[in-house]
Amino acid sequence: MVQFLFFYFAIAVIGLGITIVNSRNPVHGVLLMLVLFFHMAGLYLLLNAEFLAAVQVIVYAGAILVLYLFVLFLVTLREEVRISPFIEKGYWMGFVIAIAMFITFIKGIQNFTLGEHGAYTIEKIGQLTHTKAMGEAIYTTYILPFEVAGLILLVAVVGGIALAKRERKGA
Amino acid sequence: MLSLLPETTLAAAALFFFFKNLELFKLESKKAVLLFGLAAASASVIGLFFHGEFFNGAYRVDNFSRFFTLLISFAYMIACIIFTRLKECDQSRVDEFFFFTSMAALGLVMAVGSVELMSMFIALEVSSYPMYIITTFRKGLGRQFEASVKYIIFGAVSTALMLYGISYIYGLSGSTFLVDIASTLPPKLGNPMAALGVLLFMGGLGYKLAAFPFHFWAPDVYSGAASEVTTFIAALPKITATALLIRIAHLFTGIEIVPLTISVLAVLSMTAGNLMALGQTGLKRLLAYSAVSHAGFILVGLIALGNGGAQAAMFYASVYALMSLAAFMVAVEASGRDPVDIPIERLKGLWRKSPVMAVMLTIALASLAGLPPTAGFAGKLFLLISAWKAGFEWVVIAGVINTFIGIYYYLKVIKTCLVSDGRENGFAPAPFYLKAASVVMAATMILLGIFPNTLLDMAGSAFRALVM
Repeated sequence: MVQFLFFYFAIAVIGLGITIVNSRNPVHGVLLMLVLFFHMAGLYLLLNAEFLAAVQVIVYAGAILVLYLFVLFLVTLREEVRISPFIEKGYWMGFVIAIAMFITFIKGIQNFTLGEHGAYTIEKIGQLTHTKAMGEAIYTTYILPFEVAGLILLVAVVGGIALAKRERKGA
Repeated sequence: MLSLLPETTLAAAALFFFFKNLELFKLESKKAVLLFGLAAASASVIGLFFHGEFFNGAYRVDNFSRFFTLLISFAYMIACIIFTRLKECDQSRVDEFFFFTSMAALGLVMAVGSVELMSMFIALEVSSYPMYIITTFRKGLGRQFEASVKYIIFGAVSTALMLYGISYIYGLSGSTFLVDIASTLPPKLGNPMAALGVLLFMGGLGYKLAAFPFHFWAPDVYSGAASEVTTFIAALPKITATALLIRIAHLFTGIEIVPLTISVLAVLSMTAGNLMALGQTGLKRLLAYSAVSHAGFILVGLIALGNGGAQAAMFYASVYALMSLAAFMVAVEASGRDPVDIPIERLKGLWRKSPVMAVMLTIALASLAGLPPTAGFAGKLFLLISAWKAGFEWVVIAGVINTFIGIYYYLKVIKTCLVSDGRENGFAPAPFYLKAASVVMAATMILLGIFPNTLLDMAGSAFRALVM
């Protein structure tokens, strides 16, 4: 049953991803992305990561996608922006590189060793509950990246304003 | 507490300009940025004498990280001196510009100090986002938005590769701390996953370095962004990329395919960069392709880590940062009137208008070309010797051939600025401190070429701190 669910979620995620990239209408893309995020949350649940699954639904599906929709409705692009191809005549090259990478990863995955690594085993997470285990890890072992991530948010906030600011005439 | 002084200084600079945006201070921005540049450089010198470990072992201050902190801080200082001449940057966003550059420098310094993969990654992101944003800070409607979008897309893809590599390394070793990885990994080095993980991780850094398959953004970003921005992008991230490449490559020296792949990429990078640079007529595009070929030279050091390659790469990264800052200092002086790139003809008559700048540019380009007695020659020599010792003779031959190709296009620029006559190129006379800075930089490039041992010994002791 778990395996069936895993394959359902995994295939849905890949299929939806391809559909989103190919969809011409950005609003359809955003709505399909919503479905994709729910499937991702399902994958997290299968990994006993209920907190991550909840965050995925609340933050990504709830907040970020709504922002996306806002942006889409505010910035109405009347005509599609067309730019000349970046790397000319390289269309088939992209396919070759993609296929080569695909084969490399498939070959690589065969060498995965199953089993648990690291400090948090499944029993330990089951004992602590996932939310508590994650909180402990974030606020003790991984306190530095957690705090520094705040700097990225600061940069993003200032950057958003700086980009939106119009150039003053004659300044 | 003094051991985190360089980071604190850069953070203070970023915070100062953040509040300066809100018009809380009366101090003039251009004076303040000069002040903070000097403060950061002196803080990094003081920081050399203090070591320590912070944040649960995720951040380590030792000789290795402090060597690179010193380089980044000095590059930041020189960049700050150049920033006082903002010519192409949008004047109404000066404070934001200084905020982002300080923040990016802080991220680069923190990435060098991190010994844990997540912190390293996040710190690199802190340095990337500001650079994406400042790429658009250019007066008028040029190609800056196209440049920025290309920069972001390439950045996102290589970041994804890097994260994927981290996930492989974590999957193998069960930890993101380099100390634990070093202790659990050796028996698993034969596993292809280790090679795949480390190569993917290096892909993300190759983007920062503008090495061969990840270099496509460089010419467009260099020419599309304002010259001051390019100055920053061309010098500082390369130092950090070299540091992290050495840190990671040193952990995985046991895998045979890693040096082999790097050597192929190094040769391709040198050749592709040089051949593309030959036909360029724009100064910034030329410097972008030359950056690609120099990235190849820095990669040569990684294939011979144990044979003095690490020291040579560190030496070359510092020299390269200095050379490109020197070249861009002149580029900023020459810029301001062209829609996208600076045509090389703009340098005509530079010798008449500003002999100091012309001499410095000549020395910088001679050093980039690798002519003796400049620092660039010494750096290339050490790199090629180490590669020879490690048994990569074909890389040495390719390197020598590429050096000869490079001499051609660098000499072309030197000829334009020294010999060709031009009356109306509109060089404003440079202020005194800029001339003083260019004399010091030119002297450093020569002195490092004749007496490279001081810097090389520092690099050696830094590398020993890493091995222990």
